[in-house]
Amino acid sequence: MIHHFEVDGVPGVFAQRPGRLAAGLVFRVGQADEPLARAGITHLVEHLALHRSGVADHHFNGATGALYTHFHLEGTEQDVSSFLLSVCQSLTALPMERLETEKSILRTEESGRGPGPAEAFGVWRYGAQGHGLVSYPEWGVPGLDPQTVQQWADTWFTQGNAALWVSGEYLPAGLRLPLHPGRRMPVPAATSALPQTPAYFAEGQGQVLFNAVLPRSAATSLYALCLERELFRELRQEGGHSYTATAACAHRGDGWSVVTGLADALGEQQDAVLGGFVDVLARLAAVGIPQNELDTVRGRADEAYTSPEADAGRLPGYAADLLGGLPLRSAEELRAELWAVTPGEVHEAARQAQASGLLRVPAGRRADWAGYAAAPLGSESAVHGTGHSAREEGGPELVVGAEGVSLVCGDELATVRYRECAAMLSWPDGGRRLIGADGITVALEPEDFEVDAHTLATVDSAVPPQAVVRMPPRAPRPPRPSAPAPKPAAAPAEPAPVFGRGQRVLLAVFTVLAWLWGGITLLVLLTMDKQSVGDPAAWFVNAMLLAIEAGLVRAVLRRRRRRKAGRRAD
Amino acid sequence: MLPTQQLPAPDFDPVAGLPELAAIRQAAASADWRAVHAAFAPIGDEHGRVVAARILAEAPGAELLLLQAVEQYPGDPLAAVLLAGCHIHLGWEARTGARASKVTPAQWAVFRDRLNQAERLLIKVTAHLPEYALAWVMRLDTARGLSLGLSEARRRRRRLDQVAPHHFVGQSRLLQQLLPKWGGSWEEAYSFARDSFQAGPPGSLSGALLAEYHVEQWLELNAAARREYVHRPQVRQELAQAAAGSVLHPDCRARYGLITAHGTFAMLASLAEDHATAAVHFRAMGPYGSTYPWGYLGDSAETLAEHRDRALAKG
Repeated sequence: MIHHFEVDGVPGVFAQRPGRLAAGLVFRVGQADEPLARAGITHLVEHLALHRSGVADHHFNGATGALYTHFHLEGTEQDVSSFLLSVCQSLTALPMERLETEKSILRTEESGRGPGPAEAFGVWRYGAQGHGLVSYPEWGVPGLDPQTVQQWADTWFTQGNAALWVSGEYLPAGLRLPLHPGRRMPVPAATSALPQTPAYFAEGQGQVLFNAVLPRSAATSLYALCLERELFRELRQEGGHSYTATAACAHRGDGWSVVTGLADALGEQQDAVLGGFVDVLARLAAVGIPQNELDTVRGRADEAYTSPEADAGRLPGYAADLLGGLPLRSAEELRAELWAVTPGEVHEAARQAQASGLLRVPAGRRADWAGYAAAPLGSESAVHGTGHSAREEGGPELVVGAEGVSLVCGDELATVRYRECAAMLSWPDGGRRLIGADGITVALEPEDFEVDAHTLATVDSAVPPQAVVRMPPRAPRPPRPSAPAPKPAAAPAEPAPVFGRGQRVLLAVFTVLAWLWGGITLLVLLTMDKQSVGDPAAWFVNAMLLAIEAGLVRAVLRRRRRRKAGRRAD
Repeated sequence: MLPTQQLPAPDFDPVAGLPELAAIRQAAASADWRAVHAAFAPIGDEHGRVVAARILAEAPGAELLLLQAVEQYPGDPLAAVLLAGCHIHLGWEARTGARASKVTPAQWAVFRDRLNQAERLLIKVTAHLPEYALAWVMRLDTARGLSLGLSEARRRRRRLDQVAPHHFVGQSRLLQQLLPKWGGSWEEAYSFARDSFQAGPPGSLSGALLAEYHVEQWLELNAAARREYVHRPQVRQELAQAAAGSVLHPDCRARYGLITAHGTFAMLASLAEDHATAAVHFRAMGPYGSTYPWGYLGDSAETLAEHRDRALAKG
């Protein structure tokens, strides 16, 4: 049972659970609400708000997502009430003496974070706006001043835009949430950067990813479970092409859910993983799933509602729904909905998933053969204006016009119009990178084009001031090896040596180590005999092996992400 | 009396001697889908269905007939698969058999478009009916033409093998994909041919994969090396075993693909001047012939007749 209460005008929900007290304060604000030029501002507020909680003994944390920012902890009654009080007091008067330190911490945190599926899809599905902003780095952070940060907190971290959840043996008395008054903020409308679906784009290596947007329902959740089951069966059990083959379903905050599928693949198996993935999606869309298999996955889903701590477990999501003004349902109602789903409804969800799907295939592959349209890599048209030839022969032509800028290379175009410019990165050396709301990027690099000061000043004054991101000085770019000119939109001129030679060597070393270690780990896991399966020491060794492998993979992903910086997304 | 005077020029028509295939062509000429459907019904053999689909695809007016059939009977997998076969045939016609570097951008565009259309039809059919062997065989063609990769071709062959074990056309398609010219290697191609032969039931056509492999090897060599290659004792021995375990095995009941299989063994024997062995295969072929592998030597009708007549005279 979930009970409703209120603290200082903030709606709260409580569920009983044995053991320690846990609580979370949720605000309806996240990356999707930020202007691209201020990206990271919510995360910065979250960090600043937690600073005064300091080195407390109890476990607490903050998390900034696409739509929600969450402060949560486990502890005693005293811990909970003082943490919540401290966070609220900090939000109304952020410790600005910490501003520069927290900025630096954020940069470190960002460099250590690998992109997940949401980051991979955001810009391709939504563009450089709203839900698509999760794909971008926290570009706004370095240039944020105390006033702007506090203003952001005062606008979004308010009484009207918050919800509290508490789980434990009892609801503690005397909680205080002294926040500024404010209004409930609606979830940003979903934009689209895809002229048609199903669509695909090619990026990265070693994975095939799928993303579909479906109405939030029990049928959609069950479809995601069926997708996972089928991917695992086809790609892991039968084909042995993948190690991980999985799917998940997440609510987008607006009554729609995002279903994500993922399968990994070794180099030469990537084609089979793509082919098998396409066939699994097609099969579910064609015939759905038989009743007995539906009942199996349904049984698994039902366990989430029948465990004694089920209500406590779903409190954060429940609080988010409360904030989003969405229907609030009891576990019984959800179970009833779950058991009412027919195979026909899952089949319909599978058809919709296929129709709305966005597939990420490994770089160098396509999926047009399977009926997926190529997601736009460039723009439909170029602006009229003055042309500037590239310094390098065969390079794209830069066109600077009254409406915007374009790169033109044969049939391939990339255009950013000033009024649709989500952000312009501006370096002291004259380098500019304009990112359109559709996610298309145009880079004006002094090393690539001869752009006079007057032209540059024209561009600078035409871009809306709030879209400008002043970047710190950067080292000069090392001489470029004679390679064919990159496509204008898919790979704009690299603006900064974010990924130098040393980094390349490190990436290569870590990649080799990660594969080797992965192989050893897999071998150890596969060769475990019956005796060692029950031996905690063996599992400790396994855990260590896996932890080291995870570290190596993280190091590789981190560097790969940095190497990709400057491409379409970041 | 010279044998050359007794033997007519070989008949290269794939329906020759196979009335059920001639019926397919007749049905196509009638431009009546129900007639085509009925003509396919008696052909239960999966190899035969591949040949029949090919004959239909090559028949004049087949595309229009099949487009109408798919529109009128959207749930009929046969109509969809046969239309896919038609697209594949027309795609390869547009591409021509020329080396990739000689194919024009316009030809590539038509080729890709046709194969994409075929593949999309076939994805649907195999999604509804994973047991539809003919669709999986065609998906090996599209995988190769669209460069979907070796591991994907192997996956498709595995799916085919699950529903039609030891399907010779499927094996032959994968063998082609495994050759260096399609992105594979001689080692992969060889071990696939050898393993398929060893795994195949006695009297199945699988042994002919080894002959096909050796023809492809021979083709890549210069004149002197070619001669040396076909005379190698281990090649001769392997071919003799392959023939004995397949087309010459008493249990061999193959009705389709026999002419090509015998022809491949015959050509390799004839090139090695083993006329006696060549004659055995030529006799089994009777008055029939196939373009493969004789086209590799020049005009297939002329070269087949020449090698056949010489072998029968001497062997």
